[in-house]
Amino acid sequence: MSIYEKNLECIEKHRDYMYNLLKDFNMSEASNRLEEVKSVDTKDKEKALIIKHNSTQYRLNSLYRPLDEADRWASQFDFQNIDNLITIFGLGNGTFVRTIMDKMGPNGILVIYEPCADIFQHVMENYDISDILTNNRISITVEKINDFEFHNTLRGVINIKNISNQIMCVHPQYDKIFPESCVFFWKELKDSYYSARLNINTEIFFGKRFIDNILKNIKYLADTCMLSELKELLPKDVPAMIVAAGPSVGRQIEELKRAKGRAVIFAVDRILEFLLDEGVEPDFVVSLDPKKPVKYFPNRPECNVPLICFQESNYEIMDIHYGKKIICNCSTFLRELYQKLGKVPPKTSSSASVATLTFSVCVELGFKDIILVGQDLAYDGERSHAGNKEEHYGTTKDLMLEGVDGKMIRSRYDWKEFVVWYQDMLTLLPDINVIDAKEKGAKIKGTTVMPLREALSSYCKQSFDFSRRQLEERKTFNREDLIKVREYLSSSLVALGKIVRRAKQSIKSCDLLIENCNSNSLSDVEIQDLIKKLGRNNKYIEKQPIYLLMDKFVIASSAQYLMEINRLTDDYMKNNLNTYEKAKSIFQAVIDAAEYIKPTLEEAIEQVMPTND
Amino acid sequence: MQELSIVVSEMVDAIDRTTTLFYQQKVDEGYESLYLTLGIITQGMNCLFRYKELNDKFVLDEAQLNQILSQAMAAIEEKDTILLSDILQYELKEFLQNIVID
Repeated sequence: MSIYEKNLECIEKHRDYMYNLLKDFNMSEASNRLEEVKSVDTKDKEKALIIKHNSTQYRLNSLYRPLDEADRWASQFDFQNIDNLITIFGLGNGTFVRTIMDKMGPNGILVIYEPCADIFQHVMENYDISDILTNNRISITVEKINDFEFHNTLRGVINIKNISNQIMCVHPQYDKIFPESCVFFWKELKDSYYSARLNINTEIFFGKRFIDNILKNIKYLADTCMLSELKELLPKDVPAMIVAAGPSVGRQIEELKRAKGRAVIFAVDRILEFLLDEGVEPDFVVSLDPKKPVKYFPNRPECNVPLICFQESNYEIMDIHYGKKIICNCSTFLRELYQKLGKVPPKTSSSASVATLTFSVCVELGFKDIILVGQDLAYDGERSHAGNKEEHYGTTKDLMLEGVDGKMIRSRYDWKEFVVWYQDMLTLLPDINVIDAKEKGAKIKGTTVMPLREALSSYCKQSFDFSRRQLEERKTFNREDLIKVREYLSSSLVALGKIVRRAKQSIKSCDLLIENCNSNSLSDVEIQDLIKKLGRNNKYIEKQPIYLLMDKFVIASSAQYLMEINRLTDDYMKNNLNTYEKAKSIFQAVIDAAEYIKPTLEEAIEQVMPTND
Repeated sequence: MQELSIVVSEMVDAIDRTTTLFYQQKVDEGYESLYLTLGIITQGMNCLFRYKELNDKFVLDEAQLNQILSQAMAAIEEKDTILLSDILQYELKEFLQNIVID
């Protein structure tokens, strides 16, 4: 087997997304083409890569000792932290990458972006990089082959524990040789950092509210159904229409009235009142935001539009909604319960906004044609929302985006995130046809832009009749199931008490270890015992299903400690002291979480069964 | 002899500082350091030659030294900081360390 075949086999076994794109790849589509790429022997019998690009020759490794060179280069970075996240521009011949692999630790993640397919091809043919290709802690993207993987991986790997520990580096010379690709690389890193920060801040902001919503919405379980149950009742072969709250909706009311019965209309929560006032009743309303202001949702007992929601959606909105509730995503806390009852837990990615969530819902429901209405993602003059509403976060959060007419248009940072989200989705779902029915607003690449009138005549040709009565009769849980739900919640209440006891024990252990850092009062055996006890308590706490609920509170109240807990220094004693102090704070947050949850959990247990039971 | 060891040690430390910066792609700082290192190497060479004049038994392979320094100058002219670092690290530094050992 040749080196190339061996490497390719590794890609086939371990990286099927890349493999599927690589096998159909034509080198004529590559960017950053080279005039020459070759390897030469070094003085210590290793290999150095030499390339010629734009008539200039570059040597990418030392001619003397490339491994030593890589080691000295890597010594400038701090790999001491746990959970290192390293991103590198340039694979080269793997020498620098292997040095990082040796230093990054067992929990490290390495994301490689190689801008030159010619280099990658040469390396695949001449270097055995199977150790790199088979390592599942390494992501490799080659420009023009599997570009999306870089973007997607960054958004998946950054979390609260490693966001502060990122190492971003460039293979020597790559920035000089491929400057445009390098700019792209840094921009992707910046965007992914902002996106991760947004997600973390959302978790912190909503921490306690998630808990309140999940527990207070349990009383609705008896009457809810899941998205999969709705899917069976919906017509096929008609498009979905998502009505968001952009200012353009006001100009499209007459068309929306004509759409009724010819497209399944999903309205985001914020636009429902406006639509009802204008005489348009959608087929579904969607709500996501755990803290959505109640003033944005109509309190109309006569309106029974079914609501598609998360278990974490705002309970205050659930309380003033009078129709059927359809769960599209269950909380991690209740997921095990669904499985125990033989049901597939509903799962839809939360994404960034209720409109993007609605898009995911439409994809889950099997719609192939999706028409976006009111997804302006830009200001219309000073207006941000339909009904002449203005909402500003301050001009520092405003920016310019490309509009559907090719001109730049004023938008916001969060709207830009939504544009990127849609574009990512359209890359992942090439079979979905998305029509963006607007004449102004931010351009979403991959959509077909056309006026709503034209979209109706092109895609909404047949009418359908959807039975709300059949939907009302669908219930995920029967009486026996609800009894088991109550048992599950009751056992969670018992577990809370045990968690508090273990957390208190752990705090005592931390106190002893902290004191020892200052006074050396404990023997090595005693220290090891205390550390083992901490580990056991930690494992026990994290294994309890109720911890999946507590986690949100703990993250919200100890985010700063969680961001720093994996950061280490040269000073061993200082590392220990920091770790014990942070661990103590986190265990205290666990106790606070348990105390916070207990009364609402008790209330939920009382309310599981319907009142006529 | 002790004075020679100190001189060589200073040259070796200067080489280490400069080459580390270049290997880490800190090019601007590397050139600043190189300027100082070249000064230290020049003074160090002067000491070596003076020592040789005073000690018949001291062997200094001037031809090899000239060749190494020429290669280093060529690398500087080519702006090949990695090749320069390799020459300083694996040719010149080893040459100087061997003087002390011998």
